[in-house]
Amino acid sequence: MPFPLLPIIVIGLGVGAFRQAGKRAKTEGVLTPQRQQVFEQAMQGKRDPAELRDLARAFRAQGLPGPAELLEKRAKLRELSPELTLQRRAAFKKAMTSQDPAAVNHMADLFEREGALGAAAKLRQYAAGLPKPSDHVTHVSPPQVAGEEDDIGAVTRMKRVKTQPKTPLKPSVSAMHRVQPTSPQDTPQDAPQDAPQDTSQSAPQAASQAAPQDAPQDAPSDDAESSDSDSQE
Amino acid sequence: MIPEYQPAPPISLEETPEVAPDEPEYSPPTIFPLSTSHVARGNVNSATVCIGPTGCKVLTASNRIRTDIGADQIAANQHFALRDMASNGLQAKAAEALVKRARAGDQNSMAIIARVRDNARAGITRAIVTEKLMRDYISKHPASDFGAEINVRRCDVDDCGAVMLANGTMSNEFVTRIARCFPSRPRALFLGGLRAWQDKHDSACEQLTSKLDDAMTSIVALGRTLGYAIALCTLRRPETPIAAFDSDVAWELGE
Repeated sequence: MPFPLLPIIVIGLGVGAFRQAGKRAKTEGVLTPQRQQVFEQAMQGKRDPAELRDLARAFRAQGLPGPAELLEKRAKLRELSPELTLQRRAAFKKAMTSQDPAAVNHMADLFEREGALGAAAKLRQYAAGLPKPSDHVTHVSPPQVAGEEDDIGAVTRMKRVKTQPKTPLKPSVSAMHRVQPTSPQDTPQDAPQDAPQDTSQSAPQAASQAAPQDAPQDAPSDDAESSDSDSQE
Repeated sequence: MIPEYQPAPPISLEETPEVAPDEPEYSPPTIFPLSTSHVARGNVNSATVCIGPTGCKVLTASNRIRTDIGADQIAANQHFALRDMASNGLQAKAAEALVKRARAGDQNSMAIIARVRDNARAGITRAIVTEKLMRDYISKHPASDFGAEINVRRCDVDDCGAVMLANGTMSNEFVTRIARCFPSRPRALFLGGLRAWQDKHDSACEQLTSKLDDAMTSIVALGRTLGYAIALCTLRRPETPIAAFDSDVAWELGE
């Protein structure tokens, strides 16, 4: 008795096909999480232009011209003229020496538009690391025992600054560094039992004692702490 | 003169042997092996590498130059401030570790907490501060009713610290000096992090640090931060190929 079952099977298949079509219509033109994942993996990992172009075609067929265009641009990255690639490399290197986060982020946007997501990500990482200065000047009291940290260099530097006349600042980037003794034997003053003991006399109280001498009234004593509180955490 | 940067293979677990039973506990004194300051765009930026018994960290500060105070004075003030921050931060970490160990059932930690409480009642300043830090941590992180605390140890690169070090003064010589601060096993972790600073090594580093405590994890993180700083310095040299910094970026830019 197969005959009565045949219409039921046909109707079932029809309903299934209709549902599938409905699902396709729902996801057409939508960047679903799965598609996003495929797109990101291709933009970060795939280096074969043919594969990238195939994927771009598939995205375009699904009604996603934006990702398709980026994939095509990535496929073209290796086909650019040598002069242009040299210019791009120079621009990337220059941006990685910049001190302006806004300029570096702008450069990252430009690289992203050209399909170079890896370069854009590195530039954004660099821009995120550039300091965001506060408007106030840091003021923290000197150590309780004068000369205690002379071997580290900070007190010596403070003394030198106080005795020498101020020199005009150069507009260009300048660097000054101090290298401290590295072995634990060289720094007996920094023993661990000393560090917690200092906290009772450190920043807030001691800064309030030292502030009238060398700090303007509006300068908070724990400015550096606030500017780096997230890194401490 | 910055030496040539040599990219190395990712960190492997074989490089970090298990702790030998007779190896002494890692408890270095608090030292600051590298401090650097530089002036850029009208700001004084300072970074200090802090190595302590409860962990390592690159501390940073940035302030605008003012006409009434010289850049040198601001830099000196920043370094004092960073050292104070390091002391407070290390004590807070120690208090946090005590609470965590006590919650896990460590009798020694419970006894230490009781002693800190007694000393705080007796008016000892250091104990009062520690007790307050412990209370702060407990109020912010109340104990869960069921299960153990899940402590995810991350060893991400400190972008800000790395960029500050790279923009100041950074070289392999400084890295060697810092590496010499550590005994054998922490040094292996530090050098492993130094080689595995890139994003693609994140999973390998997390796998490694899941077996380590907080102090050791911070050593790996410090190594990764310094690795990124050295890579930035190397990239800025005109003759260095971008592939030495990142192979994916080099491919994208036609190298």
